[in-house]
Amino acid sequence: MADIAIRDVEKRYANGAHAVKGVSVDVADGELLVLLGPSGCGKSTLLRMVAGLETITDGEVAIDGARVNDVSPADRDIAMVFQNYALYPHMSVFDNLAYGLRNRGVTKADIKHRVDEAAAILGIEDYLDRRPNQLSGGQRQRVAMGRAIVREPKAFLFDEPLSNLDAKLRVHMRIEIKRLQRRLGVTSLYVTHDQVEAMTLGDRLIVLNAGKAEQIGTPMELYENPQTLFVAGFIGTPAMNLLPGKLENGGVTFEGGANLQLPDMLSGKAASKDVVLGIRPEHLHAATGQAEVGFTVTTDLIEHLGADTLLHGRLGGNGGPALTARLPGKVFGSESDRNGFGIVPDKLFLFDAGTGHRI
Amino acid sequence: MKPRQIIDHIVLILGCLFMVLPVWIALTSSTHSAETLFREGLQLWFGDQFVENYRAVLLEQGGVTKTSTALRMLFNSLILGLGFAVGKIVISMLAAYAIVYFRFKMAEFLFWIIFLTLLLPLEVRIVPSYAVVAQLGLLNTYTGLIVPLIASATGTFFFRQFFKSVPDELLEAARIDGAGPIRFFIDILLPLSKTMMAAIFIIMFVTGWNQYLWPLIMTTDDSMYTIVIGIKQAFQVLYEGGELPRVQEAFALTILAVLPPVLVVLFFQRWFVRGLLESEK
Repeated sequence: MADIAIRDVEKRYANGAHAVKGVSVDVADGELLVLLGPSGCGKSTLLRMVAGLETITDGEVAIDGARVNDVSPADRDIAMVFQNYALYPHMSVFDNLAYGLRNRGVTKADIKHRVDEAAAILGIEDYLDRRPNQLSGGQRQRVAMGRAIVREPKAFLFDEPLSNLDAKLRVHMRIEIKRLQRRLGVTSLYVTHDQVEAMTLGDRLIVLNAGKAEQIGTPMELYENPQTLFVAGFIGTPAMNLLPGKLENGGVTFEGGANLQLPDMLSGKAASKDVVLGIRPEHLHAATGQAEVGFTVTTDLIEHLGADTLLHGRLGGNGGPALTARLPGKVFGSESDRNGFGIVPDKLFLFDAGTGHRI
Repeated sequence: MKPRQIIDHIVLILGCLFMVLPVWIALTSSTHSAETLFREGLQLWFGDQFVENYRAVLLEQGGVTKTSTALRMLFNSLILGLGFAVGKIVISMLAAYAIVYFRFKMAEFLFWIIFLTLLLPLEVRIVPSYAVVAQLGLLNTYTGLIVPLIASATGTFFFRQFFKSVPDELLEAARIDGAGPIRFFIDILLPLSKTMMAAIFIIMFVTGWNQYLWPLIMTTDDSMYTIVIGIKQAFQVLYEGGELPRVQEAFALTILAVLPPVLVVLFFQRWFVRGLLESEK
């Protein structure tokens, strides 16, 4: 087990594409860091550079304090779980697990012992003689995990390992991976584009956008305190309402003319400029009688999810920005009854529309 | 059954008969005596000379072909067919491995050069090839028979396409598992290519077995003749000289020549179809 240090890492491809632009992050011993971002943001490239499958254009990757830029993947002492599992189709499950050990000259008895142990942890003892094509998706996923475990590596690298599974199994395997990683305490990097997966699995997250790190922090830090517009929009489902408007005189005027007077803590922070106001759907609540900071919204659609209800509408009537509210429990009445919302003042986020940074 | 289907079947059956009948006549006629065939013409049913005729063809020196025995010629053809097929598979697999998995300058260009040679049949280069083999003193040797034919654009092309369809992650997983280029080739790629190899083996074995022009030019020694040349010899001898034509032995020789490729195809058929249709991955 070891820590991983990624310092100012850059990746430029021969065709000029600049996939990773100076990312730095330290992964502590035993930590699970999730690389989160939309497709094409460079998260997989970064992971593959740590694995040694891509060359590092600039910067440094160190595992356990030793620089590994020029070390071959086999000698980095890492194990990787691939999106499509990449199991050897012609080998039995046992041989799939044992292959890496054999190449490292581990003795036969030791291999048997380690494979049996890993199989017991993952509950795949009964399948050791089968070929990968005789296994279900979840079982293959376990075998892929097993191949990583038997090696007892310094770090696990996961490249979207759950995206080939159906939704139900994905939730199940997500929990298994989390338990397993906790239990084994192996430093892990985990790439995903699914923010729910990222939030539930990661000790910390690094959100990547267009090759750059937008923000690094624990899931709750990113949720409660997004530093950029991108992070605000990416973390949380349904996504945060991002309402473009103009900041002037301590209030924001939105498209369509609606106006919101900001609480004192926000209004003093900036001179008049174009801003984006962020408010999470779950931080809107049905208006109470008291005078409070609130919105008038024309609701045009109600979605009942059971535990919650989603209300979709437009701020200040037609022409205003779209807004979604998430109210707990069941909401009675029709769309037209729902048009006043209260806001929790300290859950408002204000972003600079030009730079995308938090104000 | 609809009338349309009946017509379809009649057409198909007629087609089959058209293809099979000559082979059938050769088979049945090869079991009669020379006198019967001379008196009554070709036979449609088996006679009683099966053992005698085939024994004569297989073992008698200077029989119907006036050269070596059919056994010897079958052996030569087998060596040629096997060497041709195995050699082509080895060479084209290695070439395709280099082209697909190693980054070197002009790899794509070189592949297309190889591919272009598909357009050039053996006959185009047969004179220079003969000159080279002759100067190396390889006339009338198995080496001379096989090596000049061993490079295969077709094989290289098929293996290249196949290797390209193998997911990159397998290579990456193997690299992380500590497998170098040779280990990866032997442990992963080779087993995955089994069906592909079987398919190419059949095609190449039959092609090698049926080679005519090259062995004809290459071999001057009777003991190096292949069975295909033997057939040619047999029919040449048939209508020379005054004795009764030994048509029955010529037919027996033909049947013997057809048998091994047929067996190879039957044996590998299952693999053949799977290999061409893409295998399990």
